[in-house]
Amino acid sequence: MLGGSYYWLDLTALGRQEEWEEPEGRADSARAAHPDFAD
Amino acid sequence: MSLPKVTSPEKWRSARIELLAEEKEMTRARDALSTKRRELPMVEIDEDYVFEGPGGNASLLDLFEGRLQLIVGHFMFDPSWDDGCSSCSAGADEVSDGLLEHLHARDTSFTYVSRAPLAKIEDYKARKGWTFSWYSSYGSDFNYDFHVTMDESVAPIEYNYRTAEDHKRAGTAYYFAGEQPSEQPGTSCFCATASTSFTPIPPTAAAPRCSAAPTTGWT
Repeated sequence: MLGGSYYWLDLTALGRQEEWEEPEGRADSARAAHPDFAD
Repeated sequence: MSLPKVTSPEKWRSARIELLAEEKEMTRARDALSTKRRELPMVEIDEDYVFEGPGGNASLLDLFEGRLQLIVGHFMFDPSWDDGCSSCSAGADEVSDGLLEHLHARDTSFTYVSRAPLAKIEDYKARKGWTFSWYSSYGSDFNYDFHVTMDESVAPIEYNYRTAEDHKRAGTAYYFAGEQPSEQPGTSCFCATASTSFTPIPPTAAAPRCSAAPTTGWT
C-alpha cells in the first residue's frame, strides 16, 4: 500500500522521515546521502 | 470481465499467502529504489527564476515558504490554453489540505508551477475550487530548464533525461512528434541549504542555496 504523503516524500532527499521507515534489512539508511557541494 | 471463482476459505487463504510473498518482494524493491533515488547527488540551482503568484513575484526559494524541502508539480498549462491539462487536473483533485498538512509536518512544501500566465491559472483554479499553491513560470526559463516544456527554438529538448537523439536511437522519437512548444508533466524536488548540511533556513537568509534533488518524470 503506497499513497498519500508517502508517495511524494519518497521522491524527496529526506524521504518519509520516519524512524520505522525502513525496517532493518530492507534498505540502506535514508540519511546516507548528505548534500555536499564541495566536489 | 469475469469475476474471480469462488473457493473454500482454506484455498483462498493459501492463494492469498502465495500472493503476499510477491507483494512483499515488490515493497522491498520499491523501498530500495526510493533509497537509491534519495542518494542521487544534487545540483545547485544558481538561476534566479522569477515566478508570479497571488502575492506578486517570487523566487524559487520563496516557493519553499520557509520549509526545508520543496516539491514542484509541473502542471501542464500552455499559455494559449484556457484550461489546464485534464490528466494533471485529475491528480490535482487529490491534493487535499490533509495531504499538505502531512507534507508540511515533514518540513516539505508543495506547489504547482505552470507556464500559463497567472490570470489563466487563477481563473482555472477558482473554477476547479482548488486552494493549493500554484505559480506561473510565464516568461522564465524554468520549464525549459526542467524539461517540462519542449521547444527546440528555445532549448535542446530532452524527455526523461534523454535527448532527442537518444530517443531516436531507442525508437521512442514519438515523444517529439507533435507540435512545439509542448508541455510535459513531471515532479521536481528541491532542498534548501545554507551550507553543506541539511540546515533549515528562512527564505530571506543571506546567500541561500537551492538544490535540486531527485527529479522525476514519466517513463
